[in-house]
Formats: sequence, structure tokens, C-alpha cells
Amino acid sequence: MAKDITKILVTGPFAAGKTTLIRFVSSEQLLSKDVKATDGLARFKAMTTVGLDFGILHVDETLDVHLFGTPGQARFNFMWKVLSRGALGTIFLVDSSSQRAIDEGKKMYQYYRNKADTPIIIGATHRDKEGARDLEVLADGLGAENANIIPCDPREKEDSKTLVLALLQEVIESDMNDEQEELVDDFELM
Amino acid sequence: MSQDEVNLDKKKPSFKHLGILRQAISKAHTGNIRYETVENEEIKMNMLLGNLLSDSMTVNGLEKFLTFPCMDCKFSVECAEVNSDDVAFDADETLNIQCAGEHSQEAAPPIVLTRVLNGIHWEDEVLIQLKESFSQLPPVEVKMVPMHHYGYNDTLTYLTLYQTSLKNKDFTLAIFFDECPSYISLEQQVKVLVLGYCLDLIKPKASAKKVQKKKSRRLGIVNRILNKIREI
Repeated sequence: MAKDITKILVTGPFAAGKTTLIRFVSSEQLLSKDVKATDGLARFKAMTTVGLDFGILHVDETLDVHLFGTPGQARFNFMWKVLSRGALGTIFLVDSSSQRAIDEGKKMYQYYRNKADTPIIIGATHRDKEGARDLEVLADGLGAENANIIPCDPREKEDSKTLVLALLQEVIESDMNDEQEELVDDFELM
Repeated sequence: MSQDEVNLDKKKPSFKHLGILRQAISKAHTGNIRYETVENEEIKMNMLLGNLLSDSMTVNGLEKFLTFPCMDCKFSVECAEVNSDDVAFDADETLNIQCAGEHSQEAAPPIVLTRVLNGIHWEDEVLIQLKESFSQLPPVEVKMVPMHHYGYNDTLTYLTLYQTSLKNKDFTLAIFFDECPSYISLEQQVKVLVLGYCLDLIKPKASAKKVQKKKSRRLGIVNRILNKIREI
């Protein structure tokens, strides 16, 4: 029997935790080429991902989810469009303690918001670092005032799972929103 | 103008009246909610397009409305027809009307509700009653919203509620009480439930029949992934 394959995109600026998230959620991780950072970013992170991260989550015998992580550096932005095509949704990770990451993330977020017609969930990472922005400030910084932002640490498996679950819930809601549900009368407190 | 009147159970004090507020907010009512207590005190709260106004009568009334269970109370929701050019509203003209978007149907952040809720304190006995009431609700879904827009000062607890709901397939509020970390007090837990319930962010889980009816192939796939992720 042919397998269904669907795609989830994990994106965001440099050093946000994309590779880590994909590692936790995938059944197998096929690609992740970390190399020594050579440009101006080297002072922030010793190793970085080139090309793309790619993992597969085997859901059951007839369904796989492909998780694509875009490289975080702006010079790879030509890949954003290609990778976002046909995705179920996008997890957007951003280092909430870094103004540089937020500025960079704003361009990326606006790109995905405008070009990719899929739900996006934002994960605010590096919450344990000094200078981590409040979620409201982060939302303003990204130009994402109406977006759902979830604080998370991708190094924690449960946090990585939560982001994927939140994204899937967004997908369901976007599919179900066409009909306004009537309030249920028996949903009453005692 | 239409009027709905609800008589609540006379035998036992309850928080059923929160359902009235929930309906009024969700259906974007304009008019007022009248609450008559057993002491014959009348509480009146003014609403515009589902948003509670910030006049002192509404704010004071809302505080009592949220704080105390009720017994033998009557509620009436007067609903005025509203169009975009002429907001028909029979409340005090001095009211400070807070509504986003030039009388549009777009929901404004429910800042009056959150502001009052921030300052609410329940007696232990009432807290237990609220906990039991919420625990008895059927399985629910929790909607994530950017809570920081609402002026609610405990977004962490709401986030905990949301995350717990994601991880449990048949999530009930009893599970939330069981799994909530100990550093979140019972009052904090109950507050987010009152907030979520009144704003219709906590909804009964769609029935299997309804889901089946709506289920596209894509939704089927998403649900299978959801279940898999929960198992990891």
C-alpha cells in the first residue's frame, strides 16, 4: 500500500533550536549537517546547520510526516519558498533573548505569513537566558501581534512535542473554522 | 429588542450564571445582563457587541457576578439589534464605551473581564465548589489565543492549561486539576478556567458524529499525527 506523506516545516532564524526539535520528534533523522560557523555568526554559535535538517516521523504503516528544517542564515532564504510549498504548517522558532534573532526573524516571519498559506505557531526559545523578551515584546518585534506564541525549550522533549501538537491543533481549527459552532446548552457549571 | 430570561436552579447555589455571561459574550450581545440576588440586590452589567463596558456599575457588578455562587436568581439579557452605522444601546450615556474597530463585529480584547478577574479572590469553600463544577464538565478543547492582548496577568497558567489539553486525547478539566504543577495555586487554576469558560475558549470537545461529518482526508491525517505525537 502506498504511503501518505505530509510535511511540517520547522523554521526560524539562526540558533533557535530547529535541529534539536526535529531530532526529538522524528523517528529517524536523515540529514543534519552541522559545520563550524564561519561568518559573523560564529561568535554566537560554534556549529551551525548547512543545507537542511530532515527527519521522518513514522505515524503508522500508511502515513509518514516529513519534517524539514530550513537553514537559519539569511543567505539560504531561496530555500524558504521551495520548502514551504505544500506544508501542513510551520513551526517558527526564535531565540527570544537575542535582538539580532528577533530582527532577522521578523523578515522570515513576514515572509511565511504572507507567502505560505498555512498555519504558523511561534516557539519562543532561550527563555532561560538573561534578556529574554516578554512574549508581548517578542510579538511586537516579530510583527506577529495576533499570533500564538509558546515559550519553549526544544532541548526538552515535552516542549518539542507541545509545539507540534499546538501546530496540529491550529491546522484543525483552521479547517473547522468555516462553520460557527453553536454553543452547547448542556455545557453548564453546577 | 429581544429578551431572554433564565431561571436557575432554586435548590442549590451554583455558578450556572457564568453560562449566561458566556452566551452573551460569544453571541456578541448588546444590552445588559441583569442579576438579581437572593437579597434582592440587582446587578446590571452593560455590554456592547459582547464586550463588557468599563462603567463602575458594570465593573462592580461583574466582580460580584464572578465571586459568588447564586441561588434563586434571575437573569435577563436584553439584546438590541446593532448595525454598523447606528449602535442602538440603551445604557447610560456617560458610559465609557470600549469597543474595537468602529462598532465592527470584530471582537475587542475582553479587558474588563480580565481586569476584574485579576483582582478576584474566592473563599476556600467557593473555590472547591468551582473546582467540582469544572471537573464535572465533559471532555473539552482549549483554544490558544495571544493572552497578553487581554491584559490577563497569569498567562503562564493559561498556557499550562492549553499544553495539558494538547497532551491528553480526551481532556477534561479534572485532568487539568490533577496534572497542574503544585506551584500553580488552586485559585490560579480556577481563574483561568473561569476566563476560558466565559470567553468560550474552553469548549466541549466536538462530538464524534460532528467530527465525522466534517472530517476531511486532511483532518484524518492530522488526527493520526496528533495521536502519534502524544505517544512519543
